[in-house]
Amino acid sequence: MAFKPSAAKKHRTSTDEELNLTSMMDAMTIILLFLLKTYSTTGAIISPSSDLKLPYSLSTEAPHKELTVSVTQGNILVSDEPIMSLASIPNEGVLIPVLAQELKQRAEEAKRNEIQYAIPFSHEIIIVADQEAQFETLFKVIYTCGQSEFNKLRLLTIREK
Amino acid sequence: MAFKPSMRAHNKVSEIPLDIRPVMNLMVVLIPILLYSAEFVKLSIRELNLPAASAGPGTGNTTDEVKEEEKRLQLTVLVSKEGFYIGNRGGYLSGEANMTGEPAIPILDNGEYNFQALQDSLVKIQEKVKGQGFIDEKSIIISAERDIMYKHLIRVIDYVTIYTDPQAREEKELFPQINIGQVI
Repeated sequence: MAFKPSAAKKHRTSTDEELNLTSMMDAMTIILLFLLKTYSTTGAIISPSSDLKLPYSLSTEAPHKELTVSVTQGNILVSDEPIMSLASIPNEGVLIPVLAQELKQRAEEAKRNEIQYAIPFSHEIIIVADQEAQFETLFKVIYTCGQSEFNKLRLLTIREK
Repeated sequence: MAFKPSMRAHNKVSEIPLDIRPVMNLMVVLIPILLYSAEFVKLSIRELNLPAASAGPGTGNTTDEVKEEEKRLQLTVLVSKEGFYIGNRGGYLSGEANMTGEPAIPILDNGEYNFQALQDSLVKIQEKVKGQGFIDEKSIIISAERDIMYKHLIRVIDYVTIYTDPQAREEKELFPQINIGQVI
């Protein structure tokens, strides 16, 4: 047999129960302060990936958002779009033709923007290279950038405390 | 005659809970925005300025001729698997230019590079070079063997640009203008 419903509770009127949000507000305030402390206006320059680990450096210069050339463990990317694989870099000579062509197009575009919309062409380029990239590859990339009118190179690193 | 006190003054004050739901709304919006622009890893850059690609062959040649007459040091640090070679246009500090000799600063026994020794000897070189009239007394060429890893290169740049003077306890410039060269 089922239990008899409680007689005492039968005529109880339901009162307005307020959700107590005070403790949640506490947590939110702390999170808000923490996030304000780590706030950056530049936004994300690189998209992290497993085959692109930046080296550590003592430099304290803050980076700006510019065109990036990434050298990962297997590929070369220009502003996060894969251009070519490291295996297809020619052994002969220092210039990488595929990369040079892509960079020249970007330079042309930047120059057109300079004329049409007065966005100055800074000649700056950020080199984002994996910490285990080989010097030979890097040298070729740097040389190619220099030949494609991007002569102000910025090597991106992680700031060491 | 004084006014009669309002009867409402004796109304019982009922406790009204603070309505913080609008603030919560704001928080819920603010936190994703800040999370998106949060910088968990501090990034930094190293500047590396190459000479601008010459506009034409004529202008390039004339500047080269002018530079040829000036005193150039062309200090070079070469990173190899055995250690650092230090040299200038005349030759390498210890060992031969063709890299058959011992490096000036060999690697430590645990296989790591001796960055501190490199910095110390560059400080000595800078003291000798200062005021000798070299036009490139602030620049250094960093070169490496083909398969030296990028992280070692960045570390070398760190130690070559700035050093901490032990007496004055302040950071001083060593060779802030970095060039990258290739072993021929």
